[in-house]
Amino acid sequence: MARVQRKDTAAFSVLLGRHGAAVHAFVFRLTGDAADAEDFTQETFLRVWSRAGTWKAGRVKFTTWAYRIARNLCIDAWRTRRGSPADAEVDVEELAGDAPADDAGQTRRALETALAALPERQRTALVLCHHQGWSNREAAEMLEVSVDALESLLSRARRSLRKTLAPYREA
Amino acid sequence: MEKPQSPGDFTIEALADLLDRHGSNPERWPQLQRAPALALVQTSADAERLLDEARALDVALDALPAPAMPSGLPGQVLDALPRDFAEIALDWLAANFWRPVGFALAPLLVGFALGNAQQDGTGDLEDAVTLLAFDEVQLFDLAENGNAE
Repeated sequence: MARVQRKDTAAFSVLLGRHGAAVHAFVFRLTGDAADAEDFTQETFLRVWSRAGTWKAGRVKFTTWAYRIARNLCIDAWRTRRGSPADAEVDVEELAGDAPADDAGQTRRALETALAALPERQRTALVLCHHQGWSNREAAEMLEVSVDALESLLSRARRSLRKTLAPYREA
Repeated sequence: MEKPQSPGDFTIEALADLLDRHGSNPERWPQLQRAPALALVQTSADAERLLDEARALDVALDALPAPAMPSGLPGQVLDALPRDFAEIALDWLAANFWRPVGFALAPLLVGFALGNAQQDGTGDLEDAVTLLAFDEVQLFDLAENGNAE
């Protein structure tokens, strides 16, 4: 990262190779849209390049910083488009209520819908810990909340999603 | 430091809370809670059911597809990097260097080609006549200077 701060494109290319796929997966899990994932991943790394001078070693890990940039881009896009899932609190019980007979595809779609309907912070917490494999402490740093607060977000997210899945499990 | 809980202390509510906070994978559970939680699952049907539900959610989450990063994306990012003036100038020169050089050399090449095309063998005779003329002028000058002295 020190070399990237000196505008070394070769070092930046290594950084991109090391973290690009994970940031892309993270953004896709947040947005659910392949085109957005591509655009926001590109923009995340362009910001990493242009703002590298503001990153301070020892204060925050590079990954934490990069994930924060990526997440902020997603939030900005949702606000601009006014389709913010954080604002769209969908009633998960309602989603679960009219569940069709079990089928892998239907279960997946129901889960995707429920995941997209979660408030942004709950979804981000779950994506960071479950899909990206970060520890609760690392995810808390990325979200800039305490570990307790993060675990509260995770608990609410998991309870909501389990309610969505319950009818499919029973079927 | 937190004391490890004995299996007897660990309740169904504590297990539910643990699963909500950390998911169904025991490797992600806090070490001190792992053994009593697993012991409870071994002895309680309700605890086992809770763990099964948590596992089902994790399996369903794992099954959600995510596309791989497009292979061309790193190249796109590198191409889109803003660059400083020196880099831009060097790139421009590398891409367009043949133009100014070409413009500078074109008249030279045209003149060389025209000069070669016009040589028809009379050039040597003309040169000899010119040199002879210079020789005569020199002889004439010497004669005049000699007379004057």
